[in-house]
Amino acid sequence: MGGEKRILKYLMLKDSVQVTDLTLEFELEKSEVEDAIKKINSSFKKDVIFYQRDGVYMTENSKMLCYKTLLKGEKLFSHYEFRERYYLLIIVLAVENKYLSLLELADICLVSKNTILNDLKCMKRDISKKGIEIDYSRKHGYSIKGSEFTIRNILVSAVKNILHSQAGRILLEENSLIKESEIFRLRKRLERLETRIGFRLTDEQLDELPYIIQLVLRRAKKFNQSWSFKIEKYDIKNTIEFPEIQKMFWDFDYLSQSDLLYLSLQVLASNMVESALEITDGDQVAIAAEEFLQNIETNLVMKIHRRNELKEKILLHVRPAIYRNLLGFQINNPLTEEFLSQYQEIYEVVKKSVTPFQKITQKELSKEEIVYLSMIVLGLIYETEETEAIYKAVVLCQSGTSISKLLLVNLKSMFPEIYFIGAYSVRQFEQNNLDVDFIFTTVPVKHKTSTFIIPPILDKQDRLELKERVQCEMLGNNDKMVQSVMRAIKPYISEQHIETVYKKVGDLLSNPYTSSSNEDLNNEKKLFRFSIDNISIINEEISWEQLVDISMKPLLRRKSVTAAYIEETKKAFYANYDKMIIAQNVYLPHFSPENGVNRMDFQVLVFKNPTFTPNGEKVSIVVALAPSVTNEHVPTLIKLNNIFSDEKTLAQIINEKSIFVTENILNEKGAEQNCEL
Amino acid sequence: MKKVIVACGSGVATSQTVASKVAKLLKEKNVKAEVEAIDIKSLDRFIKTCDVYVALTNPQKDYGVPVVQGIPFLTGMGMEQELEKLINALK
Repeated sequence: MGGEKRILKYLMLKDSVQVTDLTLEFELEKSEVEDAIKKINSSFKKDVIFYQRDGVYMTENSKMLCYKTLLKGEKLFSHYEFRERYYLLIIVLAVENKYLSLLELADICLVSKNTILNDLKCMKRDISKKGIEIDYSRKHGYSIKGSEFTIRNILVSAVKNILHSQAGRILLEENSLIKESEIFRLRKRLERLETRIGFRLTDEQLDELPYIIQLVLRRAKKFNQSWSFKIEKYDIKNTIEFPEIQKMFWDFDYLSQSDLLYLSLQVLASNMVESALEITDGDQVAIAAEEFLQNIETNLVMKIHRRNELKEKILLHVRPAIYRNLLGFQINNPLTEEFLSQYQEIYEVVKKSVTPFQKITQKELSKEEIVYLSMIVLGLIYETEETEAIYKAVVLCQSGTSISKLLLVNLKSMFPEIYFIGAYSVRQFEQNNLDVDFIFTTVPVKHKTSTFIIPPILDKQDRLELKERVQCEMLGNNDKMVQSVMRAIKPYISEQHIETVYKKVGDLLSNPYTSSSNEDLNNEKKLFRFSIDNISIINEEISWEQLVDISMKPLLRRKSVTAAYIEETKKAFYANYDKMIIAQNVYLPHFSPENGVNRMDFQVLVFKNPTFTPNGEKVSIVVALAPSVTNEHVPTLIKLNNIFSDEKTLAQIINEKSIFVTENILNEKGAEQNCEL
Repeated sequence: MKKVIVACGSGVATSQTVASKVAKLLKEKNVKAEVEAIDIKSLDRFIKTCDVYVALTNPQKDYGVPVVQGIPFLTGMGMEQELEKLINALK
């Protein structure tokens, strides 16, 4: 069997070969080769080697069968080609999630340390483009570092590449990266999942997914830290498919919600995870949103008030919706039927107007998604200008989705005397620490503020009851009203009369109906709190060309922006730097948030050795900005403009050596002059 | 109400800051106007409906509406003149 075994091993490592290749390689006659193939096939009682006119080849399954039965522990690979080594390195570094020495890596890849060094160099160059680094420590060796989402994507694509290489499954097995029994178990679970959620994986997917999942699971187990990625906001958890996929991993108790979400994406649309993000983050969605609004205006024969704001809100919802649609998730919207029974007309208009979005996905948007969009449209076209109100309130629901936005519309029309700050999920509300007088919520919450638990859609009876309860509460909250009125009229009262007027107003307002007060909503605006991390004092001399990279580096490190965002910023800034300022000679490199901003962030850099612009202007201060889609950064920019416009303060910041003093100046000064649009 | 648009490259930072400042200054001078920040790509669409254009990039052509320079509102240098130009254009 020795000769046959050699032929078998040779074939296992090849794609398809000609018989002449075999005759030359093994110095055999054609008939001897044919005999050997026949002998091997008959020993398996089926064809494991396929001999056809176009060549001799083995399938990946037959390779695995031969490996298991014939080689029995004997290694198939004596060396790996560069391509295999490259992907093997990525997989090993990702699943081990620890430092591996050069020797360990060389042993795994069956090559010398020098070759590994070269391989690592190539790999480093490639993956750095995605913001991933190979960290090196003299003591411990090499480790992969960067965004968990990107590392997992790189891992998945490396596994796919290995699976597509010759005897890739065997390669994984020989390196103890996978367990055959586990692969079998995962495959069975995927088959059951297909029946449960009624979707169909292709044979190739069913073949590859168990390997991908097993290696992602290994990474998740070793990683074992809390992490999150952009898709978290995309409401995938609220889909029909997610809970079912979650069940599939019931016995992997170390998996976090983000891990499960990531695995769901792999199961439903592994080849779309990144490309769908590119589509949803790109300009075409914004263009489609514009067309959508034009359609709405045409179909409703009206001009939308505060159009930009509506567009922002539509974009915030529709990017995830398109992502879900591309990936095949179906959103769960418990209010669909109820909404349709009350607002069928608006639904029809929205349905007619969503074609620009459908052009992107090449699929129809589901009824549920259209209802969500209808809720937003309905919410904003009826929204009136903010009125000066005495009370402030928020609307809460479980997920902060469009359900609460619809409620918001209803409540605004019912209570014009209340200023509704917005609709939030319970978690968002808790994090934001908003100061309100009332909370309207569809889920019970524990809060010191007066709370009204209400159904998601209010019928006539609900409205009457709620109105009564809220008015009762307002009567009991007389102090608040008195304070608001006093704040408004205080400047016009002489000091000695304040107490008397306070009392009189109090008496007067024991009557529930009152006029509005001049509450200054301005103070509600949140200003960015600078910490020392947001300030850099740079002593080194730097060049003009390095300016944006150096300024943006801290934002990239904090993962507030992507490398792509920095590239776009560079293009925009170097073409237009004289207009990208926040005050005289204070430069503000930035780009649109849709191009890679993960969260709002600022970095103020003071250059002790200033560089100069091509126009010869000195650059002492740069504010690197990651803007928010909802313009939350604007109040802070106005504040910075105030600070930097003051010559004395500007000189103080430029000359200051202590980062703590600068921090103090940035947080304390300028806020009093804050103004709003 | 008269409308002022402020346009910069991205429409998210400089134009927003200038728009806020312009709105505040107009309010102080008792001039009623709606001030909106936009990105430069949307300029052609918005320019038709506005009364004054506050430019943060060099205007590429004559839009047929008065143009006021936006940078002085950030630097403070020449701001008074530009504000006066703006107020006159809104009269």
